[in-house]
Amino acid sequence: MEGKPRRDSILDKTSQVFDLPADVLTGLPRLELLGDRELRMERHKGILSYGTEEIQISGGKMIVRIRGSALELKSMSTAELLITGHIIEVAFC
Amino acid sequence: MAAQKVAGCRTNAAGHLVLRVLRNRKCGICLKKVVNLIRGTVRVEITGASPAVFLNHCAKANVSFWGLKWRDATTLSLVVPLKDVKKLNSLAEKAMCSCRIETKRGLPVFLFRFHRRYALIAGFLLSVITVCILSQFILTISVEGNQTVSTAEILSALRRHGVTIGTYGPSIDEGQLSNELLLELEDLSWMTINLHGTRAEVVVREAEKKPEIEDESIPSNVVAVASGIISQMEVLRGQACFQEGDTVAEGDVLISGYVDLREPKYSQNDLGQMLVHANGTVFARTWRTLSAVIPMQAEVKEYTGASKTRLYLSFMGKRLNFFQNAFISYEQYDKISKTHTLTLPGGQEMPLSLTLERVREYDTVLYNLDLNAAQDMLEERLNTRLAEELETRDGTLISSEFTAVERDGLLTVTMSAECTEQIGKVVELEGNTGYVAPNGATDTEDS
Repeated sequence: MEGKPRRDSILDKTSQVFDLPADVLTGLPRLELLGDRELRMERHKGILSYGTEEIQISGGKMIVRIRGSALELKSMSTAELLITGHIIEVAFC
Repeated sequence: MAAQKVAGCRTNAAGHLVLRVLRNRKCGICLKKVVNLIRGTVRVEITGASPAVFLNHCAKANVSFWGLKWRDATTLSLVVPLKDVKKLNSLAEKAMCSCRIETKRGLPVFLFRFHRRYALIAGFLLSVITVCILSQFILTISVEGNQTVSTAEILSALRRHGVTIGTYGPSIDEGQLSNELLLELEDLSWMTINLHGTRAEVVVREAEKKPEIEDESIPSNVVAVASGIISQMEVLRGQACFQEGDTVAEGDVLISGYVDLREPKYSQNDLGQMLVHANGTVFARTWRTLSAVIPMQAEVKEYTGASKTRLYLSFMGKRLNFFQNAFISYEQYDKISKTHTLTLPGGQEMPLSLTLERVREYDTVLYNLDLNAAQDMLEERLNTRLAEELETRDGTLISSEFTAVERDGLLTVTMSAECTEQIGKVVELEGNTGYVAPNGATDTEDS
């Protein structure tokens, strides 16, 4: 099941060489997890599917899948979103 | 043991920190609720194949939302601010969904209910305008910092300059007014007038009185103002004409301003006199006789039982009567007024008062006074009068006796009192102080 290893782009390499924050330079989403009850995500690209047990969010180069129970999208804006509930798993596809 | 204590302290500190964070979060939630209540919120139901797409559109359009409830696979319920409701239909169309408003809450929604109640809106606007206009007029005037100058005196001076309850506040030039009042009220040294909305605050400082300086360039004698026996004599300047124990009559010169210059022993020359401003205190035993008279029959009021009650309202000096006929038919009557003034919780009186005026008719009847009671009353009056007179002369009462005589319907009480009092009074003389030659020629001190 293991896919092709991801190749680092020029921006990835630049951020590594110059020791710059990768999230800013490459546009990767930034996730902040507060225990298993709150997940804050910055630089998302929109919700792909929404449910109380699974939420899929587009992160641009990847899809972030959050599994749990009683999940709820607490707030959402263009820049960030906040999901609360009992989070069991966060997976990147 | 010490380590346990330290650990306990840390636990406590951490506990406090957690509590503080939780409290702040609670406050934040409360604040959000309040803000949402003021802004107004709408709960909408989104139905479509993919409601999640609708959420993405909302995020892109900067439409904030919260309180998501997933009802089934195709239905979503969420809360949005009232101001963003208009955008929802177009966003729902983009996401191929339908939008339905479920409930509306908040202050704008509550106020919208009254948009057709024109009388209510007009009344509200009228009350706002009335408050705005009335707040420009002075309703209370407070005076602070005065001790000897009465508040009534300051208020009447303000009234003369056109500042009273009901005056239009912005028309007052505080600086000029305080300057004019300072010129008028000489006992004040400083004054400021502060206008705080409907309250005018007058702060004053009183001037310290100049001490009375005796002009010692004017020659004078000290003269007895009452007859008596001198008990104590203090000559500050001048020549004593009497000694302690001497009897003096009213008008006698006690301390003369003419001081004899003593010539050398065995000299035949008269050196003349020095004319000075005589001064000193002379205490003497004096005897005073005071009398008071009262008729043994007095007229006393006797209420007939007839009375009238009248009610009126006073607002900013204007009076509104709640009665039609102001005429009082009684020949003799008492007017008893009871005023209820509107007072703020701080004790500040407002210029609105309700007065209940009761007019009671009475007749006068002759009443025979009780002899003993009348005598006691007159004795008390005489005692008070004597005390007042002695107070001005640093005097004290030594002994007193009363005699009462009833004649021709009049009771006369006579008081004979022995007192000690200061009987010396400075009486100025003509001319200037200085040397007086034996032939009468004067030479002033200045020359």
